[in-house]
Amino acid sequence: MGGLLSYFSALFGSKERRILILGLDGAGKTTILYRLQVGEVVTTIPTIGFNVETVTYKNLKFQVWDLGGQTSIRPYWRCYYSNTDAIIYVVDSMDRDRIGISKQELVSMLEEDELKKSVLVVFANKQDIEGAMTVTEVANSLGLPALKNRKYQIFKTSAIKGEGLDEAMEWLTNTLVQAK
Amino acid sequence: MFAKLKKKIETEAGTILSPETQGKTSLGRRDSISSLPRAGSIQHLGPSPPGSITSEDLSIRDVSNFRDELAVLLQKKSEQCKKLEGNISDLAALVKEKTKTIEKLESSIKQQEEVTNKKLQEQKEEFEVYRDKLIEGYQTDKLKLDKDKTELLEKLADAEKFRALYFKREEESDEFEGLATQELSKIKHLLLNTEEALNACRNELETKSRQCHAAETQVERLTDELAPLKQKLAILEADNMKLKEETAERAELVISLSKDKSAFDKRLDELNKEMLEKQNQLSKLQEQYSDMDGEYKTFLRNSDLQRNKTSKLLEEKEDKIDGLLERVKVLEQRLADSGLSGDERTSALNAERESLEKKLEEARQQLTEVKSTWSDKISQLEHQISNLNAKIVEDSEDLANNQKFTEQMRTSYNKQIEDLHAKLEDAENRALENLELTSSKSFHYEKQIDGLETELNKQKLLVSTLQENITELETQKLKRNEESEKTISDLKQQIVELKNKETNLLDEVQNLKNEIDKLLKDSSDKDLHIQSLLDQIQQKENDFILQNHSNSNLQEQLVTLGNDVDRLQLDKQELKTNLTTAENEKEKLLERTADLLKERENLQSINSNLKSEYERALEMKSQTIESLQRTEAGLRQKLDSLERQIEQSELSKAESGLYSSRIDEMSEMISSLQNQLADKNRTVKKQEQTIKDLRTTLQRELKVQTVPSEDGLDQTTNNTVTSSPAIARKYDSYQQQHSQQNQAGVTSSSRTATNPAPAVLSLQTSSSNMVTVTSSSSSVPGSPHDAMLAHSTIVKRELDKDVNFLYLKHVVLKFMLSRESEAIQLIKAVSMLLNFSHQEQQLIKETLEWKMSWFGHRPPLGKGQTSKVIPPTL
Repeated sequence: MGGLLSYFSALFGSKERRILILGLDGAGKTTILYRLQVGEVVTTIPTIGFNVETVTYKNLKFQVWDLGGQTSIRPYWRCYYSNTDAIIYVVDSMDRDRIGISKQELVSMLEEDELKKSVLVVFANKQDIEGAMTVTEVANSLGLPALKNRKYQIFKTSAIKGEGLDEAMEWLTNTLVQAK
Repeated sequence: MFAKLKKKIETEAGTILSPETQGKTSLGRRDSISSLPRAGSIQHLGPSPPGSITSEDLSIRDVSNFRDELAVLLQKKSEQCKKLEGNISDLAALVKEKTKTIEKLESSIKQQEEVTNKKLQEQKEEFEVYRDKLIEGYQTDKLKLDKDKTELLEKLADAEKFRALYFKREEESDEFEGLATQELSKIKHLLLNTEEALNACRNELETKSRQCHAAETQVERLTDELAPLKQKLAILEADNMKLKEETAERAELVISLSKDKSAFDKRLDELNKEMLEKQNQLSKLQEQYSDMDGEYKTFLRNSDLQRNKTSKLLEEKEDKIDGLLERVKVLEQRLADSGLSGDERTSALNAERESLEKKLEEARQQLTEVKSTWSDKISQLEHQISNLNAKIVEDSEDLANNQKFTEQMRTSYNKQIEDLHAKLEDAENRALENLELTSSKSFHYEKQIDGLETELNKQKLLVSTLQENITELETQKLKRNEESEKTISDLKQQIVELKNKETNLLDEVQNLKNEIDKLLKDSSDKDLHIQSLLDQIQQKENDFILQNHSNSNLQEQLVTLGNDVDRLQLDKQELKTNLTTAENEKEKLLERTADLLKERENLQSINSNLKSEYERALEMKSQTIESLQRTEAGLRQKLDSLERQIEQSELSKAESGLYSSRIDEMSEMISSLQNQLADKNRTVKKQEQTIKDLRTTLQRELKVQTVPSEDGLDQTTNNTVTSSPAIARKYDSYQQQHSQQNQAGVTSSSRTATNPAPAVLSLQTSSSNMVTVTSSSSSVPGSPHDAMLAHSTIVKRELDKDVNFLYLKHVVLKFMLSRESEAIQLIKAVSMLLNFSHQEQQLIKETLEWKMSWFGHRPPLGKGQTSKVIPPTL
């Protein structure tokens, strides 16, 4: 029955775009996911595993995967890379100490063959907190200007206040539609 | 001093009185005995002491009136003595009264004994009568109850049968209803399916019609397009014609051009020839010119040379002539002078010399002149030469110019020729190009024409095909319409059939309902039967009348019937319980009889005890009396001693100091007496307390003997309860659940068959709980099993803390709970977490895909021990 349903959905429904939300632990990935899906701030616990939700934005369906970002489960990210259309890389703008680790993770991720064609969106999250790094600071510390052969864009966001998420999703949808 | 005593006695009397008032209900007689003498004694003893104290105080203080006072004191003492004597007489009277009371008590005891004996006899008789009556009553009751029981059992069996029948009927009706609902649902499902199919057909039709429309529009569009294409074609044809004309013109032109070309060629040849001739001429002319030039030069030179020779010769001749002339002159003078004297000669010689000098000068002048002339001449000549040279240069220049000109001419000619050649070539090329162009153009045009023709053909074909398509589509549409109409008609027919089926089913349902109604009627008949039976029961027993009055509605009847059944059961149970209770009561009564016997015995024993107690009390009383008598004796002795003391005081009236000491002694005596009295009172209290204790113990014993008879059954029931309270509780709860479920089943009148399952489950759970409890209790601490358990718990705790394990758990759980299409995305993660090989990973993927697909074969999963899958049970 499930197979039947999926078959029909594959026939009639437009195919879902697969998006991964990645980033270090505590960056606000799960909050962003549910902010995108429900439009509300929900209380979250550290994700040991992953969360998958279907988000519809401008008649475009996204299957958004929020993968846990703890150090010990970060190696499992690569199990989810195949068929990924876009990566949302979330960075904690307040966390100046671990931005280097974040950069390493990003670089090693972008070297994967399976992600060669996927679009990169960086969320400089937690912009609502005072003293947070600016977008340019984050971009520089992640080494984004050095990226080649990659469609990418960085946005300053605040998952708590819901700022910047719409612009980012707008850009992402437009880029994905153009890419198709 | 006496006041204190009085107070004490009063308080003690009060304290003694209060317990006695408490115990009045049980021992009314005794307080009258005990309270009377004491009250009297207190009243008699009370008033005397205060006076003595005051008098003693006065006697001590006033010594002057000692004697008078002594007399007064004596009088007082005598009065006191009298009073004491009176007291003694009172005491004697009291003693007498006490003896009387003792006698009375003895008589009363005797009377009591008689009364008790009588009572006992009466009780015995009563008891025997009562027992006989009870036995008879119980026997009759028992017989009645047995009869009732048998009847009730029979009725119960009938009722159960009816109930079973009713349940069966109900189940059947439920089944029928279920079947009907299933059928209905099936029909509905079919209807829905057909509707869906219809909708799909309609959609298809719509899409087809849309396609047709689209095709028509396309055709129209194409026809519309065709007109401009035709126009275009006409234009193109016209163009073609024009182009053909052009090509013809061009061909003509080409021909003319070729002619021109030939003419030009001829002319060119001629021109070439001419040119060659001219060149030859030119070369000849040049040669001639050069010859001429050489000749001319030689001539010029010769002429110059000759001229110079002649001029030289002339000049030489003129010079020779001049010289000669002069020599002539000189000679003539010499000749003329030769004749003259010496001065004359000298003068003549001077003159001659002068003339000669003149001549020399002249010659010199001439020479200078000649020189100048010569120089002029030379300059002239030089000028001439220069002129000539210039002329030559000019000539040469001219020549060069001429040559240049000729060369230029030649080059121009050559150029012209070349130009002409180029022009020719160009013309040729152009002609060729034109030809090519024309050919290519014609070819192109032909191609275009062909293309257009083919296009036209294609378009025509397309149009035809489209028309065909349209016709086909139309036919298809018609077919579809027909099909759809057919399908619609079929569907309608199906619907009609389905409706018919539905109606049939509804009829069936109605039939079933009728059947149900019949069954219900049957059941109602049965109920009526039951009611009649119940009426019979009512006739037999009045208890069932009330229960069956309210049975008006069928369902209510059913419900009430169920309730009645339950009630019957309950009644049965009640009756059983009644029976048991009756039996218990019987037993109880028997026990009670036994108890009563025991009680009698107890009472007898109590009586004997009481007797003994009474005897003891009497003894005690007698003892007290004796003690009182003793005290009396003591008091008498004291009195005697006091009298003696008085006598002594009388004797030693003078010795007032001694008196006081005696008073002291007396007071001491009184205090000792008081102490003694207090001790006596204490002993009395103790005895009373012991009596009380005895009474309480007796009562307790009585209670203990009576209680077991009543609590015997309770205890037995309690024993079962207390033996395993948990089980009992669970059993109770289970029973409650079961009863509730039964009630629910009756009220809802559905799913009666499925109800026992949860009950069983609960029972199982309870039993499992029990098992766990027993297992936990049986497990001995410190055993290896326990250690293993502890170890496993530690491992578990560690695992729970491990993030990787949590991740694995999370992913595997999601993998297992997700649909195949979603789970397929997690294969990688699971494989990585569980270190699956690539082959295993592939196997999982294939299996999931196989599960998702409608067709296809299952991937190989091995056999026997290497099998990776549980073989399907079917």
